[in-house]
Amino acid sequence: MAKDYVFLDSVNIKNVLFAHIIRSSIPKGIISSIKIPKLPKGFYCLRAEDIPGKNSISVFSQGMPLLCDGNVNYEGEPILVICGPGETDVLDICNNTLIEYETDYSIYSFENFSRFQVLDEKKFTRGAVESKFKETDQVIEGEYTTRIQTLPITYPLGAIAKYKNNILEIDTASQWPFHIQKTVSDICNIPRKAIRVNIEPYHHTYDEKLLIPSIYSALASLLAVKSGKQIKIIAEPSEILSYSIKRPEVRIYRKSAINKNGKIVAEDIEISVDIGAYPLFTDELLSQLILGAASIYSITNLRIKALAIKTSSPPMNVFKGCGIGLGVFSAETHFSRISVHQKKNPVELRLEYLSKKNQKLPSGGILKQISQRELLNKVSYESDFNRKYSAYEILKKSQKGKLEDPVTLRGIGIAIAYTGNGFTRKREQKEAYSMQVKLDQNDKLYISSSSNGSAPGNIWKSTAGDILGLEKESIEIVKGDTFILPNSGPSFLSNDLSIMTNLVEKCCIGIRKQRFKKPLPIIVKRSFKSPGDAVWNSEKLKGMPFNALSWGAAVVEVELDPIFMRPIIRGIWTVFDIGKIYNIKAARSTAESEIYEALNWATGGGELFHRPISSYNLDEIEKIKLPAISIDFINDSKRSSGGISQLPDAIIPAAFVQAVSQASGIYFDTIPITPEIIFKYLEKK
Amino acid sequence: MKININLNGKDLLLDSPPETRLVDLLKSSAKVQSLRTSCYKGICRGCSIFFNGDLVSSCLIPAFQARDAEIITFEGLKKLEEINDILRSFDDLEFDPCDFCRPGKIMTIHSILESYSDPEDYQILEAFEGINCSCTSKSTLLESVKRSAQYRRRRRRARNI
Repeated sequence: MAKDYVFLDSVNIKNVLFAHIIRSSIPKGIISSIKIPKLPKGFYCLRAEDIPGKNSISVFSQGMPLLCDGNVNYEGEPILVICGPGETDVLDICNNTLIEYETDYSIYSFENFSRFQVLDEKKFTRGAVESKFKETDQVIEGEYTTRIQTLPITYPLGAIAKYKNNILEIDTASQWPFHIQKTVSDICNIPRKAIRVNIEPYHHTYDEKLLIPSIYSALASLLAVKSGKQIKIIAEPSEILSYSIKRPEVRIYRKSAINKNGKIVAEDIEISVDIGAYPLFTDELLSQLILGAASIYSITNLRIKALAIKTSSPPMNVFKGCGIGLGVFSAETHFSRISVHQKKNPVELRLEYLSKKNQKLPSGGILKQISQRELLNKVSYESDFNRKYSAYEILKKSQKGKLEDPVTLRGIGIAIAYTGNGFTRKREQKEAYSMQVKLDQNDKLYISSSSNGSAPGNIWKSTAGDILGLEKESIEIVKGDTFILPNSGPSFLSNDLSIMTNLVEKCCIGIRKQRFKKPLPIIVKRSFKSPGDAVWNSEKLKGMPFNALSWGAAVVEVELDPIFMRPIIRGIWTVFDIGKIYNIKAARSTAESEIYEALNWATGGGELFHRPISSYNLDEIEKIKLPAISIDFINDSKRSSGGISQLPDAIIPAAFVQAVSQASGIYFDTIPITPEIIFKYLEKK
Repeated sequence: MKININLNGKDLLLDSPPETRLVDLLKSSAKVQSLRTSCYKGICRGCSIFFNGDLVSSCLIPAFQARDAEIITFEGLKKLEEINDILRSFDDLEFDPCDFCRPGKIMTIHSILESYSDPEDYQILEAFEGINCSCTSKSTLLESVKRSAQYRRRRRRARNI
């Protein structure tokens, strides 16, 4: 059995000081006084004025204060940290600390935001949108909303820090250890080379380990320097849920101009996203929302405006990627709405607007190998989409107005999209992605990278083993810290697969060339460089947005439970083209897990298992079973892998919403959909 | 408050503040490292223990209720021979739950196998309801529980011959 890993919260250390954050209890105001009980000997308090360096956590030149500087901007903003030898005593002091505020009650909301709340804005225009809308006969519009999503499970977050012999040592599980090193250096005024970040392994992540560990590491480090003792700071599960990461609420208004021949001639899209009190990854978020909203369909005249709205909510953050799926949701749901208006089959309408010759993506970039048509045709064939769609349309019409006593409420939806590997190329270019591979005298191979916390180790091992003819047992993924491992930038699973696996290949090929010619050990280091000319321009929508693209199409079939209006999944069919597949079993397993996650989001945490409607007969035992999920791949080994983890989030919710819309006969334009929301819409109707 | 418990076969006397939850007591005073605290609502099952023979979430039990209780954590379960039925099925199917949910998942599978010799899908799914960690696929989970049950039946049959 694999060795049991001890998480930071279960690590027992002698003479450690436990730290706890005191957060603001109001969303907006000014701190007028802080009354801390007298601290016993060995207890310490940390406030904004104690920070020797910059009081800021920043990423891509946007950021927020580490500790509140007097002006509270969201509920839960860290104000001070108390540490001491006993956890219970520290909590007692925190509970007895009194903070008084002056508040003007001017809370910023997302619902009806004002112009001054717009923190960032991106615009894109192609063609003559305005004139096309003036000439047009018909306009189809819709507003698509994806609500805030919180973590469905909280994995331990925190840090342990000690300052000894002028070296600051931090233990934490992070997707971006070199960001911690930089942040702590700026905040503590300690040179980077004196900060060692030990990279603890982690597994499943919603990207909460990208930025949040930097916050906990910085707080622990400041206290470690101040007290001279080892500090342990672990976030409470409720703290993680409320203040770590959330998927932001996004509203996308789409307006399509349809000409006399029924052609979509122009689209006008306005995106607004609630970024919370401070901008974190906002620029990237806006870029990826534009990418998703621009869709994969060729519409000649296109205008997109994306606004980042400041509110009094805790700062949002990246959540399983940077928001491309939220844009896709609006595009795919809107396209299906157009197909209903035009009385066309949704697959046919999509095929009509997919690029044919130039294979050019509307959001920028030329595709050398194109599979969208194949994906759409395959998924619709496997799910028998066309027949079912027509049958359910007839069923819907025959039951119109009879919702009080319906026979069967069934629907089917389809979606297609692409996602990328982590950040867009513009960002990627600025980050260092390095990998080092060493072959020693005993023919043992060591793969070193700072993304080893979640590294797809087996894939790296089999890639290296194939190139150098080594057994897996003689290959080791080096565990370690920022002193010995090369900087591999921010780690996303898709990055680790596409960029880092590619670097493993390059390093091993480098070793193969030198092997038997040069004495061992041979060390080869390679860094990733994004091709400059192809870097994506978010203002002009030119160039390839990502280093590697993954494509996917999905069909979701649902039946509405006529009593409780609960959507029951009848079947899900998916086809993916993710480039080179290193391990088909692992890819299938990841796809299945992510499909459930996406459904969980789309249903607002509703029950996903298939429970036959007949089982409401109380004499029968309710026997739940898994919904039928079909996962298929178009294996294109020539393209580098783009990863699969973000795709289901982009395509499943859109297909699900269309299916529920057809089943109920009501247009849904929001995620999640719960039975309460269905009832509300039915009442309105 | 002094609390006497039998933890994984060993008698322990633990000191606990009155409002402590059992999971926190086991983690802090008994140094149990396999317990995961994620929801504190009894949903995630990361803190599953066998409490007088029943699989329960230790975050829902006040520490004082554990007086004289017999508690088996994952550390104790690992010592049982039967655990190999589960681990063998994991190996067969390359089922590799993450470090966070592995103890909870193995404890839950063991409890299923103790209740049903040939569990059906719905019995497995109901037992796992609430365990949200999506590090592994649900279909492989079902398959591995069924295969574990197969190994367990075989072992029991052999023992009875």
